[in-house]
Amino acid sequence: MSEIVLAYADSGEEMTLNMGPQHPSTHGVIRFIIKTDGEIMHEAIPDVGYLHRAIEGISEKCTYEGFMPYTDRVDYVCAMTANHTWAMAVEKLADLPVPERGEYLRVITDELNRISSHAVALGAMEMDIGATTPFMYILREREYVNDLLEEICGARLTYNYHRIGGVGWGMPKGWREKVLRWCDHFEPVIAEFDRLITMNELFVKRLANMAAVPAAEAIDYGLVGPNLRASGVDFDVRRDVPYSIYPKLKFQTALGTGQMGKVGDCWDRYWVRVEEWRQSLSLVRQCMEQIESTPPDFWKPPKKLKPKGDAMARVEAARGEMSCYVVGDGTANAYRARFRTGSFNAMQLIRHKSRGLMVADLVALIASLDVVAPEIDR
Amino acid sequence: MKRLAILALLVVGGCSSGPEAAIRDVRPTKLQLGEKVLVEANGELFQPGAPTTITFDRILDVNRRPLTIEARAVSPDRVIADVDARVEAQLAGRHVVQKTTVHVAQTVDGKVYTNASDARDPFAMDLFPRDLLHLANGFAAEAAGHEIYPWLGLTVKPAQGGVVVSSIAAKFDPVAFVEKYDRPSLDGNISRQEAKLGGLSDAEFKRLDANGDGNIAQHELAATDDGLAASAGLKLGDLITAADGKPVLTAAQLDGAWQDASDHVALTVSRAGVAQPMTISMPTAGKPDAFPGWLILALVLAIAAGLVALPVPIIAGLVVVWERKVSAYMQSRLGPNRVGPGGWLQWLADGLKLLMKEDIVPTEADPYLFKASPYLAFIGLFLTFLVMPFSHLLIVSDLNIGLLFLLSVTSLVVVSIIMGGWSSNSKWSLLGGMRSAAQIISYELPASVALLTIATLTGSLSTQKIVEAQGGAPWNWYLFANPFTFCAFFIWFISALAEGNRTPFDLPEAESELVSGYNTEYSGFRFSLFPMVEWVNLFIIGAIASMLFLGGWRIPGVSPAMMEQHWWLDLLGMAVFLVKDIAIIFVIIWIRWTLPRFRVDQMMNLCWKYFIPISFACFVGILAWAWLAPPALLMATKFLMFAVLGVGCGTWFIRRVLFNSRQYRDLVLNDALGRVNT
Repeated sequence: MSEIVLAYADSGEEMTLNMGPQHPSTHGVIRFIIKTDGEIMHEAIPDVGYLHRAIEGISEKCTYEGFMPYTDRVDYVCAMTANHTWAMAVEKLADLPVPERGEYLRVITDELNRISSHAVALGAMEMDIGATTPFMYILREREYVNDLLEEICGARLTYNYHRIGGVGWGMPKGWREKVLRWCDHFEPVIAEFDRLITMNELFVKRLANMAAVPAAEAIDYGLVGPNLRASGVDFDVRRDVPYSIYPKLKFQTALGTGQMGKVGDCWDRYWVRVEEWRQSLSLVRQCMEQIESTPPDFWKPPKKLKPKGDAMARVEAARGEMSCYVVGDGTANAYRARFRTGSFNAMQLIRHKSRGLMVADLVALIASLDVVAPEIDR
Repeated sequence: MKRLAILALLVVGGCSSGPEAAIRDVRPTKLQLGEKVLVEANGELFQPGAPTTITFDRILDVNRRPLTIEARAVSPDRVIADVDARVEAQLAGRHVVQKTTVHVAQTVDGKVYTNASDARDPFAMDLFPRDLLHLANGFAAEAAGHEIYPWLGLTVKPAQGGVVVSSIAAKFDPVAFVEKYDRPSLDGNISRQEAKLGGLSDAEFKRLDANGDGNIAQHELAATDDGLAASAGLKLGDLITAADGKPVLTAAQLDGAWQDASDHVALTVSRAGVAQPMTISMPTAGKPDAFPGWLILALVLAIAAGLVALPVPIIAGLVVVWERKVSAYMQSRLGPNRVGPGGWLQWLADGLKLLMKEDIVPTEADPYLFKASPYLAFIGLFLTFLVMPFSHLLIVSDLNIGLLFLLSVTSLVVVSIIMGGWSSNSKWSLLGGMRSAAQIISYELPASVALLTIATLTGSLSTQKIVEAQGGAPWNWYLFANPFTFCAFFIWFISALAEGNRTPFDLPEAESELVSGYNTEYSGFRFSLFPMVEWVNLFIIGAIASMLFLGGWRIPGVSPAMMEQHWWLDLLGMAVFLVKDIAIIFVIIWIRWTLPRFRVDQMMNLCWKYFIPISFACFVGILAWAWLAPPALLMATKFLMFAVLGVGCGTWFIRRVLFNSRQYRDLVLNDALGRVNT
């Protein structure tokens, strides 16, 4: 159908439409140059770089420990995993041990942050499709997560919680019970959320069969994380390149199955994230069970941190695999650090997939890829 | 309000177009077996109880004579006749009241009093309100250069060498006056009672009753000064060349003469080429003030328009606050709660803020279209209030094409949106405007056809008649009348959402796609008109649903006649109307804050592939149903429909809502972190 429309549309005049960087639905400051004939797009060209803050350059100018707060800004929606990536990379570089409790706390905070990050992603997606209420509902849950994370590290968005050699603080008194209680609360909320919007006829019709990415294409374009799994590729860094204490935990990766349309369509990308909520809840519960029996040490600060060599760490962040390659030259600063993030790769898919879509679909496509501007530009 | 408007218009009519005919209106426009013929007089002319007949000039009976039917006066200004089998037998095929004049004859104490409609202005299909017609005639006369002096009974127009008398009222004739009003006592004096019976207005009575004893005596009549121009000897076609020694070339110069004169004006009149002096006395009640007739007219019109327009922004404001409150409760927020009691004056603060904003017209925009567009939308929505039946008497104008009027004026909004979108010279505005045009024009089809089913069922387009045809109890509403109206209601309701750019059809202003759609470039007061129109539209959707499908102002067990007698029943009716309206508004708000948005192609598919065929099927179904279904089935259907669809689906729906709200209470009010949410 869309090919026919496109062939017809090709005969008409083309209008160049500038979308962003101040457009409400570009998830930060991203700009798209849209070539369109009426509602049908011929092409949408992403123009990135509006939020480039030279974070990798900063890493060469400050100490390994001092760079930790900057990693929060790599992906401010899911700062914990960015913290984790940097900490892991430096620990590998300097060959530092991490206390067991520290690892557990890292995973718990990672997973809690993943839940809140997916809450923003899905809420924003619904907002872009036109439903405003689910956004409010799910942001209310994100507030709880923020409250919990604030209690453990004092910040609500840019946490700066992970440290090289562990985490900054241990569990406050009663925090474990609060988290478990919230987990019990969140499970029925997901069910309510599904009743409200996930299975909504209009919502499904907008997303099913839309911009489907087959498995081969997803690999070609370098998609990672939920976007990759939505296309049916069963790859999860937590399981396949195990790190931290993930080998001790049991979990099932969520895959896109084409439940409402084709495999890898927008609805699948949405659904995988909903499933990851449940998965993260189960991970948090398992960690909370096991953390009881660990020794109370959570941080072993390095005495003298002047490593030499290079190291690479891969972490499953909310927007897929985030990897950090760091080179040390024996000083207190890194010689070079490089972050590889999911959003940047996802952006290149948009130009290819936008041909023949409608303007309204572009918004859904961007939202379903869950791109975040600072993670693209860094 | 209707009475007030008529009074205002009559005052204006009195100023501009001379004496009114005795008979004002005849309804319906078709004589049909079982119908009632209603004749309305301009004032209280009839005596209830007296033997009465109505004669129609242009409707001939079987003997080829004007049709005369037996009637009865139900009130001093209304006569009703039944079209029964006897009348039907007399009708010789011509049933339509077309270009006829109407005479009502009454026999009181052996004397026959006849009142007739204006022979120059016979009744035709009454597409245009009669009062407005007189107004228009007055305007036309003034536009053609006529100057009207009602207090002299004189109309003039400029001509070569002076002003020529173009119409002149008859000299006041005390004998004829007594003959007309002095009944039944015939004592030469007219008491207040007699005047009332005769249909003399109170104001007129007070004017004639110079000594204020409640009785117009012969000497008081002799002293009246009506028809002063005729008394002075002026005749039609006379050329007035000078007044008080100064030459008169324009009507304005004549005005000056009236103003300067003390008690009389000496005119020089040229009749058939011969100049002759003439003296006009000024009215005894003093000189007429210098207030020109058109100014009074403009004032009255402005006040009347203000009275109708005033509620529009208030309604819009209250609906805005209502929407914000409902959405806040739905999203576990607080909503506006600072300005005024409970935040209910928030709209005033918002409006004032917008008024104080800079009014920006983009450099590249088309300034005229850009500025005109918001007003056009506002006018379209505002006009719908003319035919809004708030209650039996509370309606500005019960047009007999009310429904058509509603559909046509609301279409102005789409013109405004396209104008706004195009003239902004912004691509996002243009996209929004084009989406809107496609959407509103498409959805107007199923909406209109769905409404047509109701018009067909009633046999009238008058909004008031549609409400009267329904009953107060739910099973007498058109919603449950038969399966087709039930279907038509939902077709219409969803189409109305689309026409009103409401979620799930809010594509023209989809903020996540088009920034703000057609109103992106607007600011300040001009911008504020667009949201105002949107929320007034909500009220109008509710009102149309209420009057066409949910029984409007009908109260169970109260007939329209009872409402006419007790003013408080009218107010109660209005309350019933508004409650239904608010309920529908609530549902629309509810839908908006629950559902996501359609895509353009999905929206078009829904309209052209589903709604239009279904709405036409409904229309054909209604025709077949009305024609074929036996009365017993009609009766059974509405009770069955009410029981199954109303009570059954209603109960299921309420249970569903309760289930979800209970879930919500468990999930949200019992806070996960042990705090108490409010």
